Amino acid sequence: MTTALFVVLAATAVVAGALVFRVDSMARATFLLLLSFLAVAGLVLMTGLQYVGLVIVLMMVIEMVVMAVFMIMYMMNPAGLMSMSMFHNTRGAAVIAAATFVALAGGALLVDWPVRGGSPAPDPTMALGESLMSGQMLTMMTLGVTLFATIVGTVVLATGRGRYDRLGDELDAPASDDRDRGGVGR
Amino acid sequence: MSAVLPLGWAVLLPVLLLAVTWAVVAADVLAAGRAGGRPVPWTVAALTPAREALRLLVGQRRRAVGGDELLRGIGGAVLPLAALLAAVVLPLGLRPVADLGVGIVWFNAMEVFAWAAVWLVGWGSNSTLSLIGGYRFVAQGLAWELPHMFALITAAVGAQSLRVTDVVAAQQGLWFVVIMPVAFVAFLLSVAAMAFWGPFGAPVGRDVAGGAAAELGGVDRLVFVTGRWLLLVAAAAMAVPLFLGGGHGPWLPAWAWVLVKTLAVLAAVVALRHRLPTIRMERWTEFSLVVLTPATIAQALVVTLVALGEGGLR
Amino acid sequence: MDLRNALLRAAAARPHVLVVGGVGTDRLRARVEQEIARRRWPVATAPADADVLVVVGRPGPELDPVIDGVWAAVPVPRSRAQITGEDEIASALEAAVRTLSDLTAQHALALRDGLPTAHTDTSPGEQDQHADGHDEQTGHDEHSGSHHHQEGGMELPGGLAMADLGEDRDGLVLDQLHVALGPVLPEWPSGLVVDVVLQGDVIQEARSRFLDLDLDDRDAPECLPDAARALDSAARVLALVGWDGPAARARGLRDALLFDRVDGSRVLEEVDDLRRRVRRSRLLRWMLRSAEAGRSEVLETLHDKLLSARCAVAGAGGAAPVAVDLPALDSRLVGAEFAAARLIVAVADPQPQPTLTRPADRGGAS
Repeated sequence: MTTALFVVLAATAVVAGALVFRVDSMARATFLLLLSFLAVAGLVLMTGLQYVGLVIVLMMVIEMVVMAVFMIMYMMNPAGLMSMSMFHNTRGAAVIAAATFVALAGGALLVDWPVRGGSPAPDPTMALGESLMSGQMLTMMTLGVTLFATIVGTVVLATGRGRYDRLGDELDAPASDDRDRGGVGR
Repeated sequence: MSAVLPLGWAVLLPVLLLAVTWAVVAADVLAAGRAGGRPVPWTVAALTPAREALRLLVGQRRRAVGGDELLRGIGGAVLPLAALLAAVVLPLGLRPVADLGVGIVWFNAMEVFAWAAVWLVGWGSNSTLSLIGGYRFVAQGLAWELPHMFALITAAVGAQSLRVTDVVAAQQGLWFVVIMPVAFVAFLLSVAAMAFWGPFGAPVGRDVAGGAAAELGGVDRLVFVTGRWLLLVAAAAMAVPLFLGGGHGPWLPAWAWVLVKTLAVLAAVVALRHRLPTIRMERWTEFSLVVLTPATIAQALVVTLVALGEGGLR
Repeated sequence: MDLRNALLRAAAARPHVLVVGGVGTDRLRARVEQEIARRRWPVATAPADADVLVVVGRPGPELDPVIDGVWAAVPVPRSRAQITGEDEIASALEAAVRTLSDLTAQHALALRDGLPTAHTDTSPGEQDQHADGHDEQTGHDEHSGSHHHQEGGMELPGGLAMADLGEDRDGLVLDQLHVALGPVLPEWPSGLVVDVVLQGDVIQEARSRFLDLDLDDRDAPECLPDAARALDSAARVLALVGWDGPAARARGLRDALLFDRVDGSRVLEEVDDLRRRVRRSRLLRWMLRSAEAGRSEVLETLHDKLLSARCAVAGAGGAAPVAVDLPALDSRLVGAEFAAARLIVAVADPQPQPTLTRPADRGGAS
């Protein structure tokens, strides 16, 4: 039973991932990628990591929908009305893919697998939380602040009209001159 | 007494949800009639859900000309499925169908499938108005998801567990709505937003001729509309274990309290809906990100400090 | 067979109605809407949502093909009614419901329209519930020849032009789509079509026109009295902002003014009540206010409309509503996103005025 489930999920992940490059429509490509990720999330759930598995589901659904919006916004042929190719630099990509596959598969086959020491925590979610919030606290804090700074930085760089454009050099305009007003009125 | 209901309840759960949905739709028809100055007799209102369902069952399905039938079909089917799966962790009484250790995350992960579902239906219909509706829901989702997550986290912090039954158990004395009112309000707002219903109905609004659902006919429309109502019911029912003490209460058995509280939440939501116009995306997004998100974070902080003050982490 | 008939009859008890009318049918249309509301039938949002298509008045040569297209998009079982006078309304609606609940009539309709019924029944399980899944019609796509079933090829279905590229308001080069808004949209002025260039849901160019304006045989188009017209337009705005209760009330007041000989003071009271509610709603103010001068007008115009309706009811002879000509409407629409554009059109409530129309360079309908 477990083996069958594993095989189904693993095959789904791989096949859906490969199909991403075979379909014409951006929407289908995006949601095939989502299917692939969901199968991976199922594999993670099978290992007993409920929290991590469900967070993968949660984040991937949101991410893929947002990604679909952006891909369709920028792509030439969003709906797949004409056949198109998702391939670029095929030769280089093939070399990189083959090399990566050989390295990973070789590693998996050649390296001696360690013998398991200890036993799984009674509650993996609790163990994860304790690890993140005690031993790995510094790592997580650094990571979190870096990611947040990246997001803010990207938005600041990308925005066409910042607050100085909207509210004047001294930021003292009573109201911005936006065409569409937000809900707070700044 | 085991923590989980017998397996037969898994079959009964959709039936229960549909029954509550029926009642809510009928109440909505009544409230709409009253708001419009043309009251509907309650006998007519009680039959309206069945009549509408039959009308759609008899009706012809519509093919989206040049659309993506596959994606549209998947989107439509995912909507009710997401609602049913999210409802699996709802304690009916004190025990849910599945008592997951990370039940709150499960609920959040399932309901978030509505994002994909509505967008897919809007996209697959190959119509400008449908697509605008689909995009509106994504914009709306980006705005409600953060306050919604913080509201869920606040309840989890209050109980120091992600297990829904633990959250209920933690409210034996004091309901969470008392110590986390901001989270409760944010949760109720996101309930309506998640089901793109009432003030958050812009994705299927009249101005876009039904939006994401504009091109749906027959059984496709029935599944979509039912899924939307089921989402509303499941999400509103989740407010009971998270903030309103679940099955705890005097005199009545636990299941009766859950039912009474769920119906009360839904009645309040339906009554409010007919007093409010639809909120536009650009207004809601800024309000949600600039006011509601910080407010829910502050709420989570306060609850965390209270939990720490009461004896630290267990 | 009996079961099918019984199911059809039960399903037809609360049909969704789509009302389509050309220029100058406002009064008759209001009467039809009143009758539909009296029967508590919902008004359909889109052709896919409709069971009964009611055509008000005699559509001209431009509107006619549009109506045929709409009819093609209404799912079976369906029926169509043509109403040209107030005395026909009740009988026409009843006949429509009879057709809707009659299996043989549906078959006859399907035959007449040459409907390719076979491939609409995608799942065999639904076969017995479908009114159209009858053997004698299966697989006759060839002689249907209806224009809404062409698929594939370079030409996009539905007559849409292929999207082209243009700069958006942030300076990105993105797709532009040419779409005709109207004449069949909920809460839309009769007979109006706005050809827009859309980028996302932002309107970049707009060009509005009325269908069938220069018909010689048309009598002086029936116009609504000012109070009723103001209430009609206010009802549209309220329905578009999703405030259904007040919208239905405004519509009920319009009908009371037009058709019912009711006590004027009661109507006055209700108009005042409506005005109070609109004025007091903070959410409405929050939603409609805007920094830009051109569009904060939505709320003010809504207030003005209700006020002028009140004055007219009270007999004070309020100021006649300012007519908005089409070029002015076009310039207001440019740059607005879709929801705002719908409000702008509803508030402007343009009326066909022969002097203001452009020279005869109009293309075909939709």
